[in-house]
Amino acid sequence: MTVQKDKLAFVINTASYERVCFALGLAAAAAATGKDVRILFGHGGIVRLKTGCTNMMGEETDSWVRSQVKWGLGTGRLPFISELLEALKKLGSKVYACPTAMELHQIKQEQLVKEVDEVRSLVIFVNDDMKDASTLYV
Amino acid sequence: MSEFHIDDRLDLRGVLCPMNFVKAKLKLEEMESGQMLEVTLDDGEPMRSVPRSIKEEGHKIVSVQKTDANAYRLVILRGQD
Repeated sequence: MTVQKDKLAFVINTASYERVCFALGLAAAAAATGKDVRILFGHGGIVRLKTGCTNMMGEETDSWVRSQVKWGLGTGRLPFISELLEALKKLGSKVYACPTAMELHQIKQEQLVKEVDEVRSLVIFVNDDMKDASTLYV
Repeated sequence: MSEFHIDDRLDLRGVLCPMNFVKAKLKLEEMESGQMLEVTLDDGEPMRSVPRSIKEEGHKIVSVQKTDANAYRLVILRGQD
């Protein structure tokens, strides 16, 4: 298999704020430097794509980092996840929601944030988005 | 007082990697080739990485001025697409 230098696929399977934020920051850096970026939110991460939950911080975020994250958000040093998603869309990246994860979390398509391009199954993501890409699992 | 005609400004003080570069990139994408963007950046890591990434995108940094002990003001000439 040939891996394209300029194609990155991200599988985000956590909702913990600092992990999602860092992964999307990495994706944004890649997209801003011209890479083709595809992101799938799976079981652990899908809640971040539900309207009203994108920037929440509760038990899904490891307790030991919550205070740092709150400080970072309060001082503008850390971006909101919604801000990263918006930037990624402007940079041409694709954001997908896993249908199985949506089912498990009882999230309907109309509840997804506007930055989601489509609901995309793992099989299609593997065949279309991970194909020839470097894949990062978070 | 800048010697350049500045078309837009962006204050990125307090904004960390990668959002400082991402915000600069998105602002430059909104602008026309040949226009000037003034960006204010913190000293340290932002000054080491953002100007380099902007140049790699094909834009030109035409002026760098230290504004105080902790910040720099850059004037960027927006390059071709």
